[in-house]
Amino acid sequence: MTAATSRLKPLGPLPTNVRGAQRTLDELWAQTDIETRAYTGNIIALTEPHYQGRIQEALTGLEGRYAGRQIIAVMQPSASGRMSIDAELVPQQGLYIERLTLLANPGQLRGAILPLLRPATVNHVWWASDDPPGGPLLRELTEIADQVIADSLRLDIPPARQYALADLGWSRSAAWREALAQLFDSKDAASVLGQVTRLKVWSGGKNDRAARLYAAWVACTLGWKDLSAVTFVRGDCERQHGDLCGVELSGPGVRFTLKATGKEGVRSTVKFGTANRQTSMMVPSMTLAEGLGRVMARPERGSVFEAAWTLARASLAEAAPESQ
Amino acid sequence: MAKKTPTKRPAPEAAAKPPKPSTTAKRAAAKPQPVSSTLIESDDVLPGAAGHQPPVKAARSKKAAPEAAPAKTRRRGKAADPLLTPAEQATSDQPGADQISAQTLLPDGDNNPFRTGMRRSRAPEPATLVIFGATGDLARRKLLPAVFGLWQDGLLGSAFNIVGVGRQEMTDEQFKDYAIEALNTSKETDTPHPGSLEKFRELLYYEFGDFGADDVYERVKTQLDEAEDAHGGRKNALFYLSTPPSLFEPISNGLGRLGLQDQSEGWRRIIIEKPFGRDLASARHLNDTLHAVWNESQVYRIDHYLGKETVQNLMAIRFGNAIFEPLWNRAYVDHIQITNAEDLGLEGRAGYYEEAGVVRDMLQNHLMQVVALTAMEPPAAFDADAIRDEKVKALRAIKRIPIERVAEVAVRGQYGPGTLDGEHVPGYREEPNVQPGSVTPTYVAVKYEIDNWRWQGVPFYVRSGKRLPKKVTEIAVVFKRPPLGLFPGGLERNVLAFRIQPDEGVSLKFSSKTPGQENQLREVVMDFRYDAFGAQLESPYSRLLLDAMVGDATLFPREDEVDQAWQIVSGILEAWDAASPNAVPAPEFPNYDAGTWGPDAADKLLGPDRRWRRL
Repeated sequence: MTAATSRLKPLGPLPTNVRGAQRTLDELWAQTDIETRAYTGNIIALTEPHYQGRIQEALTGLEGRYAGRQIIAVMQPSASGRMSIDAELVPQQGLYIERLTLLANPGQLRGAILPLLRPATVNHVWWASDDPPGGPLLRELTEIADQVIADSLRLDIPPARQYALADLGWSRSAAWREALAQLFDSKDAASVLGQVTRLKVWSGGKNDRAARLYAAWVACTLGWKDLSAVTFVRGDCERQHGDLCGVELSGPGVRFTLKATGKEGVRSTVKFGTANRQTSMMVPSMTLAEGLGRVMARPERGSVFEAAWTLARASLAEAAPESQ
Repeated sequence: MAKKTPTKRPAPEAAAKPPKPSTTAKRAAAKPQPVSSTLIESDDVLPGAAGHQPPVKAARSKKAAPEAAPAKTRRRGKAADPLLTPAEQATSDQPGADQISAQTLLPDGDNNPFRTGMRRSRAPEPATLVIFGATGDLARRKLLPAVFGLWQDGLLGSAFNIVGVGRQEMTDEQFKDYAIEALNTSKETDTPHPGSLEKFRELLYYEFGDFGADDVYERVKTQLDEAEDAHGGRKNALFYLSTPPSLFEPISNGLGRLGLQDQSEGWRRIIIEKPFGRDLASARHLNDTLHAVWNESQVYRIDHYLGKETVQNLMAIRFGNAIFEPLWNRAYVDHIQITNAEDLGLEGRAGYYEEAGVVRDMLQNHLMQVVALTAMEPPAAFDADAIRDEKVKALRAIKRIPIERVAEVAVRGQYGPGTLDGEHVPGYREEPNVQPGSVTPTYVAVKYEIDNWRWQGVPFYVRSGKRLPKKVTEIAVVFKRPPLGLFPGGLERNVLAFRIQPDEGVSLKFSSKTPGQENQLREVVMDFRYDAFGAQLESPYSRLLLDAMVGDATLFPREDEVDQAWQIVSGILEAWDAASPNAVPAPEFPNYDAGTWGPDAADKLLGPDRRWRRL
């Protein structure tokens, strides 16, 4: 257990090594008045030097203590010397979490991470890198992962049954899925869903992968075989980059639209038959930490996500190959 | 009581012109950019996802920084939708230029396929929350913050309104001010996002009147009509009776007279706050009164204990793990202890407490629910009826306590002056507005025996009191001693304890060898605290309100549960009621000092070889 006063001070970092990491952490724990600890899991974040700060910030900002031990493995292909490992205790929501930060080339990291895991708990592996997720290191870690968090549409490793695949883009669009579902909680609206033939999705950011997953979810739900009826449009709204800006389902005589208004609001327009409704709803934006927390809170396999992922992935394969 | 002229929500004007497109929409329309599958630019990729991540914003915490800016009035009258401009508002729900011809409805169109596989299987449909007693203490401190939190998190859907109803004369604007002030001062309010309070303010309306007359219900009905006009959908309504119990009957009847319980135009549900009756007869009368208007499926009796995460965790740990349930019976369990200790005194609630006492305040409702959850058999499914069926079966199996058994199985107490936290505190009879010779019990300890196969011979000891040394609520499963002592020293019992509050969690006490040459055993405690997850716990009212909105009654006691609970305590109430012809004279009160663990007689209740846990 790590609960203590709400004004905890960070302890460390102290340099250590793979064999001495647990001892170093114990020395840091000894500086606290905390006698018992609860282990809720490990998260291994594989990242690059220029993302290290953001990854640390996201991990510190998690609202839940889903992983009591955080291992940030900074992949530096050019590193040729000794691997550096720092150990620290970081306050998070009035609790301490253990953080080990490794800086090494991917080859060195391969043998270093497994011994550092807190045993017999849930393991989250987060590919937090620009490169498409893959390679021997990630492949090795998927063997012990309960959950792999990655830009899933670029995943270079076939999904396996022993871990759940998660995507922060999917996670962060949860409120948009909820908003769209709310439009069809009214039975009269649900009854005309069969007339929807087109989907348009507006997204921020510079790629459409989160939008593609969202569209695939809609398409799966409506029984579409592919995304040929989907149009992706670069949106321009006040919401965070990577978030959606709008969705429109349409067809003969029906139109259902969600459009971002401000940073948290969405305006809905529903038109079918004699119905012409406009209203608004809260669709909270999710920060990286919130999205991460959401997927970590429940690392279960998601059949709905997997179906959407399969369709979205297939749509990419049918399109022109990406330039990396 | 003066009538208030109903103010109409803005009347939608004929939609001769389409809504003004937003900047975003205009840009999108002017320059559509289908990006299909080729738009991949890795320098803006969020690690692990698509997009880009700005700095992490401050974590949302309870009441970290209340919004200081006073809320502004956006428009007069009944604004239906705070995020819409008046022009957009005006075009809503009117057949306009792009009117669409009627479509043939699909035969299977009742289901919403987008709900398949979602975490919440259902979100509330567009609905109006009608709070009777909206200016009362409970609404101000608990309900409004809970509703605001749900709304801000996007959990209440697109078309949601709150109608506060009270006897106090107040305009909509005054009520909006009142509610925002309540949100700004309650410790339970989530940190508002910028602008959220102003938007939430626009969802609030107020009606007032005499609860015994029809006028106020007519105005509530008008509110539901207007909500439907503004948002479409149906006239769904949840009526929350956050009022003194004496008003439950007139309000329920008043709603019934106006047909507001009728579900032909949308679902209608009613939440009844505790206390649900003051004895078995009054509870049955209240049930009969409610059922004259409402079906049981429409009645939600709220017990906020069931909304607590750790109370729900009791079921999760029992039925979500394989290792506990095999031990959860008379073969391994010696007895169960349930403790609810409060360090506070009356806190200005003498009027209520003098009438209620500890049995009605805690034992009959909250603690009976905890007993039922501890004793129940595994339900066939995790749904309202399956769970409540099992709870009722457990309650029915509790051996009744007729008046002649009360002295044998129950102990009462009343605190006298004492010391708490180093401060002198007065005795119960010295509290403001308490009768000098009051015999109202502030402490109860009772032994329940459950006559079923699982629990035969395993007593459930339950104690609750005010002005005890600390605030703590826990359920302790005390196991039998090992059958054979291989090691020197006495054999201790294992204890699995569920702490409901504070420091929610679970601990297991067991014996371990101490370091050294001898095989000396010592008790140690393995502790799991719920805050290991590090997440903020939601308000019980938040969970229960949302459940009621989506029609999930799992965490609401059913009629027969409440009836059984009253049956179990009826003998105790009768014996301890000074006005009852069968009253058993009270012991010499006060019989425990404030700041102690209750009267000595409570220790004797456990019998030899058992003692209350030292908490």
